[in-house]
Amino acid sequence: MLFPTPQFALFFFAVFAGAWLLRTKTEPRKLLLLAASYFFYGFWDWRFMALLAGSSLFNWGAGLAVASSNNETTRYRLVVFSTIVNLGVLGVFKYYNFFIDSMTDLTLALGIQRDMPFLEIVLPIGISFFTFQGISYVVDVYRRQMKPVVSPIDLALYISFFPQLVAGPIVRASYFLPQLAKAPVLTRAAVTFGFLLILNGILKKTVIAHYLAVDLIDPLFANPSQASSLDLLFGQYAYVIQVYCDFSAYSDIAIGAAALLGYRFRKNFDRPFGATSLTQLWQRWHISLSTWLRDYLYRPLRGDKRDAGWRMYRNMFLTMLLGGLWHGANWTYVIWGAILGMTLVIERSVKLRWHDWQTSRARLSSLGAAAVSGTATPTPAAAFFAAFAGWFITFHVFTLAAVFFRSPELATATSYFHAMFAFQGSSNLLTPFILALIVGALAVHFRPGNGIERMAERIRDWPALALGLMLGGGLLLIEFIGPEGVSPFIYFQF
Amino acid sequence: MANESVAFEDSKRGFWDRRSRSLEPARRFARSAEGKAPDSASNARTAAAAMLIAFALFALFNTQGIRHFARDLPGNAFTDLLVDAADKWHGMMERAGPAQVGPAVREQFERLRGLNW
Amino acid sequence: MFSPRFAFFAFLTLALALSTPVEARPVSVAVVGDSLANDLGNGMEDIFAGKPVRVIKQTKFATGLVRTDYFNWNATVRNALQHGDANILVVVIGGNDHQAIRVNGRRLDPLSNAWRAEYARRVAHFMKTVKHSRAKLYWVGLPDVRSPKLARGYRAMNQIFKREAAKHGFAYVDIWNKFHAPDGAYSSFGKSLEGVKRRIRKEDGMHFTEPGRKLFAAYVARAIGLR
Repeated sequence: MLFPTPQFALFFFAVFAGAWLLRTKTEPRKLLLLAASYFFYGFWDWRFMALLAGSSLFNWGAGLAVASSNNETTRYRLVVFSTIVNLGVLGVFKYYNFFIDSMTDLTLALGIQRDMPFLEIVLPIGISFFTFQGISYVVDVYRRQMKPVVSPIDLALYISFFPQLVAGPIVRASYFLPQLAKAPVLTRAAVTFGFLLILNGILKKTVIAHYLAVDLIDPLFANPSQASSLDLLFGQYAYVIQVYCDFSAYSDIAIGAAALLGYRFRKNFDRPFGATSLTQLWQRWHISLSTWLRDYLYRPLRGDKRDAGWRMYRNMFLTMLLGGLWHGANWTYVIWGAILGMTLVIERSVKLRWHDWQTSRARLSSLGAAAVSGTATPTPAAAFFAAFAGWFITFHVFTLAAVFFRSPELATATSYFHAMFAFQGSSNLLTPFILALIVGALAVHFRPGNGIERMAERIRDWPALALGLMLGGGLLLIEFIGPEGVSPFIYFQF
Repeated sequence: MANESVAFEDSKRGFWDRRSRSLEPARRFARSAEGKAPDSASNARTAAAAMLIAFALFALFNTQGIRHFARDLPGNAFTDLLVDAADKWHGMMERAGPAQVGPAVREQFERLRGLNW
Repeated sequence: MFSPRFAFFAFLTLALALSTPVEARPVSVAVVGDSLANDLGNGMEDIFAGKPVRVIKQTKFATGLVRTDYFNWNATVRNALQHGDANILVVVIGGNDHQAIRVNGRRLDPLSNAWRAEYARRVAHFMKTVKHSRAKLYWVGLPDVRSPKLARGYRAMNQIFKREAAKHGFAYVDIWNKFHAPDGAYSSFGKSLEGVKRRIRKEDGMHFTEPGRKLFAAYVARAIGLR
């Protein structure tokens, strides 16, 4: 079931009503939500329900097994085994044919014409997300950060909960399971917050992301060599905005729907285009994925001690590379991850050297203790310039790398850059409307990040009629100006 | 304790480096502003009423969408009735006026979208 | 003046001029239809890149001849063919048509006799409207798909397309089994234009990937005499 459809609206209303009627009966409520989640998932393809159930059951068993043993070696072996199985399932469904396709590319490049054994595999929706949630659960139990879940229903609900099942956010077991244990609570602020987030999400997806794609990005990427350089330049900006809007829209609707059901999810995007450094960007973009990678990939690679030097850079680079690959089975995603990894490493090393140089210079001169310890506050002008330069570089690294993310193959990306830096052509795709969308969407990233929360507080005491008119009126307006028919979210294939 | 050290660290940073406040856990959703436990049942009723009002607005103004939705449903005797009812309702709303709001809004929007330098 | 040598060279020049391959003369191909037509159009743009063949796409996703409440091709096809200077017109439509037709308050279930009659009537009307353009007309049948139910439907619809095409001056291009595995079953993988096995159909078991689009375009191009 896709989010911005009448089917989902009816489904959600029914689940909302049922869940709150069962407010005081925790077990029936959980069963209702579990059944609803499986119905939601099975709506796509009933065969995938078995995979979801199997994955949930396996991780539930693994968690119990790890916790029940006291032998460190056994525990370690169990957690490694469960991770391998989880990743194996993900690998087969998502990456097997990619691997075979890449082998084909390789053999072609070597001049060998050989038919590879492709498999007719159907990719289950959301597999990257629920596999990662399963892994996080077992590893958290292994690290003794949480107790294992005794009831399989609880774990099944955690993994399959419909708001976040298909495209995130990747919710941590230690954050969500305690909420399942208590009786849920619904404040007025949560209601208004949920409504506003859902409106925000649907606007971003069906208006901003859609028109940027249809009017500018798709025509550009279909034929980049013929386009004007100005269009291509703005096309890059538009594309990252499209991805942001599409994906954060899904997260918004997921978080809003969960809030209406009484569950709190953490923010998944926090104004990433206002970031003044790449490090900050990754703290703001797809937060649930980057924290997952930090906790379950980067930290294990690093070991217990804080590392420095080439080892830190290697771990950082590997994490970004694998993060790129997670997005999809294509070399362009790997290149995207590699570019971002490399620039992150460069930024880190440049900043460290700059800091060292500054403090050593201050020590040599007599600028004073504040300068030596590195805590002197720069002048406002210098600070602004540093922030602006940081923002400019970060944003453009991200947009340039994103051209690879969007390109169906390498040739498209190279042709795009070639045409963009050729200063050719006269712009014919960049209309005032599109420019306004781009500027408007970017401007929001420089406002404080709790705008929706504050608005939710302000309209907390509105009566049902006012809230209904706002919700209905907003959705109607979006319906009238949005496209006819529904296109799937970009991240659904993950 | 942890919060204190975080706050201290924060104050040492320049304005442009401060950690985002919007990432703080949403405690406001655990209890109402007055600090008392919220009346979940009443809030749920308000939310449900608001959603029903939104559905009603759609029923009034988005009759063309209802026609599409009815036709998307699998064909059987029941959905035939729905399609029939949706068509009749759409006709009534067109004559009464609400069904014309959508196309009018869309027209203005397309005009805006088609503007060029 | 009209010596044998002159006559010989005149004849040679004429022969060379007449045997100029079609590619050398500028050609304009209009591709009309739904998302499969879009795949074909994109594929053609790829294989004709750098050649004097212009590809014009007049496609609209998720449309067909059945759901006139959503988009009415028959009513808009004349306007849609804005580029009246296309010398070749290729239609691929029907991918979204395997559903009930509702007409005059009746529901016609897919592939029932009444449905087939009504669908044939709509196809005929579409063909008659399109015929007003001066281009050479081609109708490409639907390809085989992974879903067995849809495949049955498409096979039946292709029969209708073939019959109506013959009646209305369209040349019918059959690509049904062009993407099959060697054993004749549907496969998402097949020999690409590079000569090796690649993924040619997308995850949905219907639309074409990049190599698949080029293959699709290559078959159709050959059928319409452009290769």
